[in-house]
Amino acid sequence: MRDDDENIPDDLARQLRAHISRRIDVPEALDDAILRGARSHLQRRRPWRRFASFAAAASLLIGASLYLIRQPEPHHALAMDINHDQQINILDALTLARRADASTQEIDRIAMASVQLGGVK
Amino acid sequence: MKSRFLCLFSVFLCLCGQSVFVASAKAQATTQPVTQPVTRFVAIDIRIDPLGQPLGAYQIEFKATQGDVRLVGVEGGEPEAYKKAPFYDPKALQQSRVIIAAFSTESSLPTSLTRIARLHLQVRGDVVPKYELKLIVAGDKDAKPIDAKATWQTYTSD
Repeated sequence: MRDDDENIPDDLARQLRAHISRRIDVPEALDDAILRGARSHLQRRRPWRRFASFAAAASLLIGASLYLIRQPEPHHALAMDINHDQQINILDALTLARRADASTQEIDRIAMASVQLGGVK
Repeated sequence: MKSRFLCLFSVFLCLCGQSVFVASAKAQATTQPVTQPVTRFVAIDIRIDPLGQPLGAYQIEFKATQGDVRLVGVEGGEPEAYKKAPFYDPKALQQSRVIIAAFSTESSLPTSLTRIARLHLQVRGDVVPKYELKLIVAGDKDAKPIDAKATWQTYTSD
């Protein structure tokens, strides 16, 4: 209700103003009790929420670490398939060895990859 | 302060996790010694017949399908081109399965049945071992796949 509202009768406006401006007193003790209850409630809940989010973050970190440890080095199986027969085997090493610019290290790497018991990594 | 503590604790947990993982991986990789009444050593000659083609490369898989057999060494073959020990996964040592492979860029390559490698095995117990040999691939001097036959034979020094 605005003071400049001309459509409301004066009497009604006066009564409404008196009703709205009436102060409701809440005892301080009650106010404190409600506040204490709310704080205690939040403190009871917080540790669990904190622990849960912390545990989730820790699990994520551990999982990511294990994943990275298990990952083979970025070996580029495609790069080792020198003869493009969709397989990495000793023929790739020989093909590479026959090239003049081949490095012994790379040839050995392919040859070793071809004899891995766990398959090419 | 609290966030720093949480951060440090997360790192600690990560390290613990990694340690456990590494320890378990090592434990898996370790083979437990088994006491057997009899232990003997045998050598197996691996031979390949490239059926008239020059043998530029080969790759074979050898495994024991019966008996307590463990690989203890890999030796090269007879011809000059394959005198050097072939490539193999060191993890195959103390196991009953191995993949060996070699190639040669020499001009003189074997074209007939040739011993290309010798495997040294440790056999434990009384069970007569059985072996399986599979030629994965053989190639000519240009690294083109060729037909070939792979066989094995127990080596005797007599």
